[in-house]
Amino acid sequence: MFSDREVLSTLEMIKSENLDLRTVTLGVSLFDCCSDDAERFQENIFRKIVGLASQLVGVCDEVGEKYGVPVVNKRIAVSPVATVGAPFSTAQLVEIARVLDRAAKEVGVDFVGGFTALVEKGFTRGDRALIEAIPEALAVTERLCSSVNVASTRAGINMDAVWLMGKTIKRTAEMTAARDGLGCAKLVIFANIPQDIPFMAGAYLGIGEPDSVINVGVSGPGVVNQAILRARRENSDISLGELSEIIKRTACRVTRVGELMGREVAQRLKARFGIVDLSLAPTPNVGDSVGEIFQSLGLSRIGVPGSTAVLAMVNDAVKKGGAFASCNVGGLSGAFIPVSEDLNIAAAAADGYLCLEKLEAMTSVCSVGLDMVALPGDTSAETLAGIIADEMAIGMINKKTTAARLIPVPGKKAGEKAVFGGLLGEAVIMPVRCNEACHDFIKRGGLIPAPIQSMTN
Amino acid sequence: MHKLVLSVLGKDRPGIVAKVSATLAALGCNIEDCSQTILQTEFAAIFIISNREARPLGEVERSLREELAESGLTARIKPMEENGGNSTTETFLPFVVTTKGPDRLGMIAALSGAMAELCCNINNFRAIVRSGQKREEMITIFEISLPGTVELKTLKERLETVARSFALEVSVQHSAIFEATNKI
Repeated sequence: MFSDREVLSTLEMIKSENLDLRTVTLGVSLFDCCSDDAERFQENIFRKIVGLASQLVGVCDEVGEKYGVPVVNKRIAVSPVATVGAPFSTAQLVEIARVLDRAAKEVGVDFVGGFTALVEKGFTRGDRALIEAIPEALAVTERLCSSVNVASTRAGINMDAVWLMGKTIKRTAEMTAARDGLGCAKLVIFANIPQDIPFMAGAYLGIGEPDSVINVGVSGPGVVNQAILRARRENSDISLGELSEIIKRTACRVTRVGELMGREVAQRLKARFGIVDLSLAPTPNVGDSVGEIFQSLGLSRIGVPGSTAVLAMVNDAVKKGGAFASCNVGGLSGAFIPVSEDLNIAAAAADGYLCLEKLEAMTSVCSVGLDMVALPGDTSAETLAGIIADEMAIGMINKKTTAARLIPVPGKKAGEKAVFGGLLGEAVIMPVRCNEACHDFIKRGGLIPAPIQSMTN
Repeated sequence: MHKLVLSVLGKDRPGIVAKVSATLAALGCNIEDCSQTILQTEFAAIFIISNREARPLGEVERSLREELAESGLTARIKPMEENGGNSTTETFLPFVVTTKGPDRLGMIAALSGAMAELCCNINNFRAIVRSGQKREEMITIFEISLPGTVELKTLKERLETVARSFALEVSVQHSAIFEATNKI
């Protein structure tokens, strides 16, 4: 028997505060599809994905109906294509991208991730071919997502890869120029990439993962924000420690929704249940914003002094709540600050409260990094690489995941608006200071060595 | 040993449970299970008791009525049916039905009638009047058992039809979601 308060608070979370299962992502290993014959490889991967995922959308909808919690996105993450498709040329890898896209359409998922290379210590021939294929692959497909891991705490930063990714982002933007460089919104550069992210565009199935696995991503910035506002109404003198406790408890409740539903989807699909990733992932809708949490905690806007401290507190409280709720927490788990995907953050950037440098500082304590940041179209590949290198350094030194999803919008300048549509949202283009100022450093290449693990001051 | 079911109704005040339990103890009747609630000013309770001294039902009933009448309480007693009246082996799934909207005559009859037609047993039911933004609204919460032979979709469609005719919002959710978010 439930109390009135229990029933009504759960309903409120779902109906009014935008609690949803943001994504159910089926990981599909492609290792048993390997072949040195490109056509056979394509047939194998199409057959395997469609075979395992044909019921995914239907099952997710049924489970969503049963619990009254919508499963917003259904997605697929595959083994890193640069590894399983290592023998193939750039042109053949573009064809493989088309096959992945076709398989995603066939089973009705909105994204397929895993057009991925892991190059933190160096390139294989397949890695180079894949990275070269990324611009065209993202231009000729609709649902494909790509990621490249260029750094880790154990390996250091592969600066050759950083420089290459600066150029790849530029090329990707040019090839999708008619849509404000939309291809770049589906390309993420990582340090310390987790193997089990359910969220796009970074999802891929790690090499140590099982043959098929369900990873779920739960969101709920609106739920956390409303919990903070309620607590402040009840006690106007509430301290930050007490508010952190409220965020933690709310995160715990939300995570349990993800675990309950994820396990059921996995059981029905006869797949392993992997992890639940509780991430405060905003959408461009009122009431579903991470930026609003900053205001509820007492800042006039996200980006003003105090923002990094607020984000550190929120991110940590979310992780603690998630860890208490489930022993299968993974992925990114924390708070995202994607500029274009959050109405409040996009507005703070447009109004000048949030600049690129402050955003970078905040990424040292958020769960991902510089995410969905629209930059002027004339930002050079070297400058993009410099921004990426800075972001990777934060991840490498702090033993955390960081990422860069940068969109140099072709033909547009700082202050103009870039529109990506749907969940990807829209944003005013941020100015980049000192474009063309890091060319010599970036072109030097080589490996920035892994950091010392002692003397941690 | 014969079990008896006792129900007690009356205006709420301190001492009702003490009075009922003392009377039962004096009759040699042991309380095995009990649930009580208070709605606005009214007390209601149901007791499952074991008649340890095998006193005739009429005697137990007479004594209880006499003792409790002094306190303004109404008591009814009857023998408990074998298996608690629920002997089916059919599987049931626990769901929570919640409605929200204006309080209108006949809505609870229509909602519970739709559930009865589909053989859904109501295990717990509450109706709460809450002040909404513009006017008072009625919230109803039914915890039900849905027979395994009835599709969730059928129940939802049936309840949504009723809800539309009374301008209600209705939700039907498996109880595990409430368990997951509240019982840690």
